Amino acid sequence: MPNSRPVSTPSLWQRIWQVFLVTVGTKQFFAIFSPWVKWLSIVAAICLTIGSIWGLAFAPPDYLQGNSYRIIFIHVPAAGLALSIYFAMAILGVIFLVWRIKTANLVAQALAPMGFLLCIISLLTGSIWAKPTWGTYWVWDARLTSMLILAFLYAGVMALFAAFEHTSNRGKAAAILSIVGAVNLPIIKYSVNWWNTLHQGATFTVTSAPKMSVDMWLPLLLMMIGSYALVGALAIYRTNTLILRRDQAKAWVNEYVRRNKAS
Amino acid sequence: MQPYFYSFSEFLAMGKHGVFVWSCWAITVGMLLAFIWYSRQQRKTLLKQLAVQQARQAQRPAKAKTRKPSSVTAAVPKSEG
Repeated sequence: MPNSRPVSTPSLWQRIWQVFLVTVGTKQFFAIFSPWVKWLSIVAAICLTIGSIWGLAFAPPDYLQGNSYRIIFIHVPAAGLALSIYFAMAILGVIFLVWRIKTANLVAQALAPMGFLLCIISLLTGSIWAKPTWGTYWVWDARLTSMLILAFLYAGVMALFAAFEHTSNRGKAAAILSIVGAVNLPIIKYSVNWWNTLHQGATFTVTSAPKMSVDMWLPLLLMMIGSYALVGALAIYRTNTLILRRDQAKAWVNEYVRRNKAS
Repeated sequence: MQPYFYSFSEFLAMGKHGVFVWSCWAITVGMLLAFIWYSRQQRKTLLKQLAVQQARQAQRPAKAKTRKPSSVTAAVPKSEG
């Protein structure tokens, strides 16, 4: 880009943009976010432990579903995160394709297997929960089917990342699939409203009070916060691994490896 | 605050739903721990590999000396991030 225009003093906007590009560089990402891994992990461990014990042992049972509803404390955070992670991957894909910010691509690559894992967890727990509640492990219901498609989309994105790993088009195809596949997200979200499904509607919305009693939704909130913190910590950690591998010829990585070996 | 269950065996049984609830927890915890372990292993393997590469390069000092320190180029912002 700098070569395409004649030499002139850069405008204020250009200078801000250059500073921004430096701060989102791989080296800076590594330096800024490395310390976060520890703190996010601690928050995740505390929230998930308290939330699990509270949800399993202290929360009252559901008057219709009995104790089987306790699966909600895993199922809802896992499903919510599977959607959020795909949404994040789509946004990161746009950032990568439009502004060519490599770090965005690496974060997306780090996120993809995590989203896939959480999607599988939500499908499995949902399926197990369906047995005592609906009397079957699986129905081809709108919510379940669209969630299964999300799992395939994740698998596709992961495969594309792996396939183009050592080419100059690295990450481009995966970014495009992330963006195109995002059309599935509103379908998943509103499937329970658009079609007659077995799956219940949203328990929590931003606009209205929760349809659950406090001693049920507080542990769920803890599980939500804990899972977001866990995903954050893992995303940073895995992105940093990818950064180290990608920038292994750079001086700062050599320095890091040397110090790491010494300690 | 009091636990909902009166005894530990009741807690395990979860009123006939124990097998569903506990299998969910087991699957989730197992998969997450495996994934965390896998991520750590990836990092460790990479660092070991890079350390070996470094040691190999250190054995060829003549070639390494001809390269300029890259700290000069690192200060120049690149549009490629």
